[in-house]
Amino acid sequence: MRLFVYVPFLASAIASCGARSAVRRANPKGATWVLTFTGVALALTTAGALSLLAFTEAARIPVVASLGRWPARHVGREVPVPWWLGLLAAVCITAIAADVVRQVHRYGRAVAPAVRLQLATTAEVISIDDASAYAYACRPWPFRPGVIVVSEGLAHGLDEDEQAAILAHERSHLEHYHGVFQLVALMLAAINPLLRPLRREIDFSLERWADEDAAATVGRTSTVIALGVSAVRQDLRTPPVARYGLEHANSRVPDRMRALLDDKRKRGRALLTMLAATTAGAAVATLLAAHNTEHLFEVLRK
Amino acid sequence: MQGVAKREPEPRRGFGELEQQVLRVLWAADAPLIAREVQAELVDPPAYTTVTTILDRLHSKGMVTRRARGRAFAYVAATTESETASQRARALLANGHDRTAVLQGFVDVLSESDADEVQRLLRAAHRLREHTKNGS
Repeated sequence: MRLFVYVPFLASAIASCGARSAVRRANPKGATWVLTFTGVALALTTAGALSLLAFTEAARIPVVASLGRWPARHVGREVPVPWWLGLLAAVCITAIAADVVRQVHRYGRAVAPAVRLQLATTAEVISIDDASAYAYACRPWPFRPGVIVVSEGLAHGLDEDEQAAILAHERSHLEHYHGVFQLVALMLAAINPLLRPLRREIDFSLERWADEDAAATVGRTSTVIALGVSAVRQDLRTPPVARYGLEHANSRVPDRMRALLDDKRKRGRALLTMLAATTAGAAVATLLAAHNTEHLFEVLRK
Repeated sequence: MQGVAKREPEPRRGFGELEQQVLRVLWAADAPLIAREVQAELVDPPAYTTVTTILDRLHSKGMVTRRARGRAFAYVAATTESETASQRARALLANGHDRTAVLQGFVDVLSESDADEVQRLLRAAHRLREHTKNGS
């Protein structure tokens, strides 16, 4: 309890720091899966650790103590958590719960029109008469096929292969349920703000995954050119995807192009293994902390 | 198609939903239909006058065209299904200010320094393409 309970927070910070270089090196599909599992496990363990800390605070309240049949005034002496830290944990839990509710509400508002679009059409690709350049995939409801929207402004001026690259990229998003990954990433960053960098890396990794699928279908150079040309022609007036990008303050199109051009594929297995190990460590530490706390209160009761 | 309509997340029983159903009937038909025929094609057919009201509305919105057949009007959808889908998609772009976790895009917005970098990488990619073309 004295130390173990803090391990999940440390592990979250480490995972967030390590995620960027892991994603840069590893195969994006594997990286997405590992990062998502890491994130989910770390979100759960930090939530558990926070609850433990908050519980030690609640245990000092006489009503709670009488319910648990331990002496309230002895808790402060036996529990190795200062009162202000327990209080801080309780405040954090409240703030996090409020943020999760807010995020779910935001997501719900954003998702309603997109689901309506998805259900309203049987077309796989919708071409929009718009001079701005953008393309996006939309499959918020995972149990029905998704929709790809491509503006005419984007299709215009790209050759056939480059257009095919864009479609293959969007199709990869739809086929591999990237919308679900995105939602999970959104939720875990809301539960544990330390994981926000990890969420950005999951989102980036999903784009890389789709890029690699496009490259496998139509070739590397066409994909790079399609990506570069559309990025350069993006304008700020109406691009929906750009609005999506605004939350991720820095665009990483150059990173994606470089990764595609770099055909000597590097291995990021070591880093991914490290992330997984960190996560496992956090999980074990949380369980131990929970066990210790239980034991502590058993002793207090006697 | 009616099956799809029933799976809408917020089933609205108002005119919007009926307009959609009427449009679907017109899209599915290969000839102009009079109101009576449209009514017959609808699931849970509403009253005849409701159908004529809806067709009138669609006509004033410019979504259907009509011409006289006998004493009645025969209606044809003015837009194709994919045009309507495209309009929906545009509406989604116009009013959804917060699509963060719903859409996955092909490109993000570029900062100025990134734009230069992208131009440089594009030239590299073009050279690579020329190179492979000459090589093969």
